[in-house]
Amino acid sequence: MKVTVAIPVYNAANYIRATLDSLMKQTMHSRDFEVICINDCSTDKSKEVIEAFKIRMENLVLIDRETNSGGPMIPRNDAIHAARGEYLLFLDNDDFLGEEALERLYNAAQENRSDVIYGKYIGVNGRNVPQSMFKKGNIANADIIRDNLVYSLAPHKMFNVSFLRKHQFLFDPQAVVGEDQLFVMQCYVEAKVITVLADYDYYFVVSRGNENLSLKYFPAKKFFYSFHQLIKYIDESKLNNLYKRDLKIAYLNRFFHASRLRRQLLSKKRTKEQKRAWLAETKKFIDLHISDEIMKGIQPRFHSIIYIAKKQDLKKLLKLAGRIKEAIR
Amino acid sequence: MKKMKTKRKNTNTYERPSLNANRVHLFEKAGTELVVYRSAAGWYEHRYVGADGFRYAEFIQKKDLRYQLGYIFFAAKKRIKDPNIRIKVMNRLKSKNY
Repeated sequence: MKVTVAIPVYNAANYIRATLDSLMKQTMHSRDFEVICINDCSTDKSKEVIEAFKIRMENLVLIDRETNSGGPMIPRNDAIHAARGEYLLFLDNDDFLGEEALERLYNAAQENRSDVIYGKYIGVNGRNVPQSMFKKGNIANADIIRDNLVYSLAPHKMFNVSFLRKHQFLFDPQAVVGEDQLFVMQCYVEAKVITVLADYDYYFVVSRGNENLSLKYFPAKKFFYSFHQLIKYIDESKLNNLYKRDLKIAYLNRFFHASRLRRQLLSKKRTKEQKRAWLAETKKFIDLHISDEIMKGIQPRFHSIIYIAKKQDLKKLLKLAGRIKEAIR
Repeated sequence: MKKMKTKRKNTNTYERPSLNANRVHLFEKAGTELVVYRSAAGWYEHRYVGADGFRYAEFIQKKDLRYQLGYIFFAAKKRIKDPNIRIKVMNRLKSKNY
């Protein structure tokens, strides 16, 4: 078996038809790949839809979980254990693939002996997707920093299963926010070859409104858990010290740019108490991971928020939030 | 975002940007106005709200759509006024790389 496609499913009856249809019409022969749908106790008709497809798709496997896991991490781990393919691709239950995607990805992975491989993303329904890493065309052996891979830490990629099992990489169930970033960064750090393909529209990432967990409120401690783990992993890795430093800088710039931290700190929906708790956790994070040497590499536009968090200055934070609100007006 | 019209009668939209995908809507009249967005090569994305209140996207082939005259004027006007585009055009003219 060449490829396993893992789809964690939760209340996706409206969308999963397109996902499974895109897999049913792959150019790769159906005996060469399997599709594992992990039903996480959906309360809608997702299971019936999958079972209807199962009649037409011999390579479709349904794993029915007995308890809801509260996120896609544990179902994805189930898929890592159950995968029979050489490679494992994580697909979300509302996304879909280009029809040649599996064949092209597998062939390129074989050719380059890739541990991690992914293809060009297309955003659907207004979804923003990273594009900078696809501008250079196909990259057989991409570099995490040079090729901007820190901006693509979503798990919608193909991983070598023996590589995952050798390093015992699993999604951390304790991580509620950024669990995929932790997993993908671990893989990036250990991978010998990371391949990026830009010659075809491989993966369509579909937006379905504001159901994303990361938009909701979380206690600050929960929010920072996976980011602490991620930087700890980089620190403890066997990478060259200079590369480690540059990777930390690249990741922290991405973190301040793309994570929900600034939104949580500056949002007017948060109470003063919540903001205080967030400031305290942010200070902990900065004190632990941002030394003076690292600070030199952090983009100047993030300095003000780092300074405010270091000083625990709630007044300045509220002032900054007010100024941003005025600027938006 | 572009406002375009269907070229012919009986134009289909698809669930995915592929002719093998399931069909979603049929626009029976030629000249039906649609607001579309850039998508995969050779396809536009059309967004709509389903009967269940969810937002959905469907795909329509580029060759099935045409620009409206009004939109061409609107886009040209916008391009003329946009300083970034003007600088780009001026630079291109200066470099004689046109």
